[in-house]
Amino acid sequence: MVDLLEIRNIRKSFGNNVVLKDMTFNVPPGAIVGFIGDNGAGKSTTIKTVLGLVSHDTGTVKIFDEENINIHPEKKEMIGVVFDAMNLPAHLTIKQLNNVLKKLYNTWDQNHFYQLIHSFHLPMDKKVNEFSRGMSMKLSIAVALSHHAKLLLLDEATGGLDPSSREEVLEEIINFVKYGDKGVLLSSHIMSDIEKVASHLVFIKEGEVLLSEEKDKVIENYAIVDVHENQLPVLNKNIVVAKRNHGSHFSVLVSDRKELPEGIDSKNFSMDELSVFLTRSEK
Amino acid sequence: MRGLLLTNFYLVYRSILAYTGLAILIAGILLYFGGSSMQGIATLLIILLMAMPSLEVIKTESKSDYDKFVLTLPITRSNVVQSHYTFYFCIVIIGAVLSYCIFYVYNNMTETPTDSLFNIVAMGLFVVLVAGSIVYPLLYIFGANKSDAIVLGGGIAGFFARFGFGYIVADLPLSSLKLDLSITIPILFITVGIILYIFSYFIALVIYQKKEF
Repeated sequence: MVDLLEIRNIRKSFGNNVVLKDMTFNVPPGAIVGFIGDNGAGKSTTIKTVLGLVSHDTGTVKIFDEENINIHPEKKEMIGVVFDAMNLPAHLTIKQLNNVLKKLYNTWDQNHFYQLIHSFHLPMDKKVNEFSRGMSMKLSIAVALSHHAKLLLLDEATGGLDPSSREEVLEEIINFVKYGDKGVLLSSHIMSDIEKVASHLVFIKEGEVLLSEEKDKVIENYAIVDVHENQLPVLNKNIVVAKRNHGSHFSVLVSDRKELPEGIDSKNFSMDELSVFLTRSEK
Repeated sequence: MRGLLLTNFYLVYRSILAYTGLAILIAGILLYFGGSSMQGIATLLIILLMAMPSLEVIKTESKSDYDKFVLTLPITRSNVVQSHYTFYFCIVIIGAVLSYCIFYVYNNMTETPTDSLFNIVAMGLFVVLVAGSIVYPLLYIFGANKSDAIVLGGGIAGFFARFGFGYIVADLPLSSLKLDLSITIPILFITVGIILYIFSYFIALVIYQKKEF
């Protein structure tokens, strides 16, 4: 089955500042890809590049196997987008927003939209710019889920939500992919959310992919080991994903704990620990 | 496209109503105290004040980052530019019709009715179309946070263009063509205004296609 989103060797610079370096990963059908990185790592720029909001210098972006989404506006019917802040027209009420969106989307599902609005407890007659951040994010998610999209691009969509709302939104995201033909790219700082819903993990740092793997494989096979500097050469280079220098010793993330030499003990890690490790590590 | 126009309308319809009330009030005051000498300014003010809120659309869209989100909807970039230009043009036409209505009432109430209403409205249309032609490409280049200066500059440029083109028209040998100048000159102004506006649309389109968000 063709990937819903395929990013190959994307490079993007603003002047002399290279923000994306050879970025490569994909979103297969049925996957929720957790897109993880520090502030400024390039997550938002990647999503903007995918959507054609910024151009890229080299590489290819394919959505539903088509390049250049801007010349295929009908393909955008199948993409739901939520940015890290509310981006809906400020002075509109939800009713007015519904009127507008049903004219813009051929596939707009008004009943589903109002159902989500109701379940998110959002006020119908209040202007969108009077909403709290949490309400705004819920509205943006309701919009993204109401036109039978096949691919969701969520940029920090769960940030600013209270735990109960986050739970609701995460359930919607899980429901979205349950039939295996849709996919989600979910950028987030909240590792518990990623741990809960993601099926694939993509860690980036300074515009580069550090790790792109299925979450279950990471949990099952990956390990962090603490080794002395002179033990580094005994590790199989092919399994070393990243390492962190602590002065006298190194912490090393390996992709296959079974390949570790005898005498080197591995330790398990949480998603939070993995995230911190990768964002502070060197290759 | 209809969805984008409807969004523009929802974004600024309150301002349009407020500016329309203001335009009628100011026009009424000018005509009451200034009489026929104020007819040109009153007409221009009505059309200009009506058009002002539609120039605010881009500013309002940008404030809420909707200018970024709109490009994720199933539309093209040219649809966005079309919607801005079409909305502005429609509001300008409504402004022209409103000024016609105001002068119709004024002519029925005054002892010195104006006989050059078409000419006055045409000059007003020319000024606001030139202003729009300048404002939109500049807004796409410099961004909505410079919109106040750009709109002001566009309005002033519109005035200068009206007088500049007036001098050019005055030098044309139109009288030798045996045309009714009270009709020909206003039509000439409107036609040139529309041509500039269309030309500006294509420039704005090129700029907007390359814009990064």
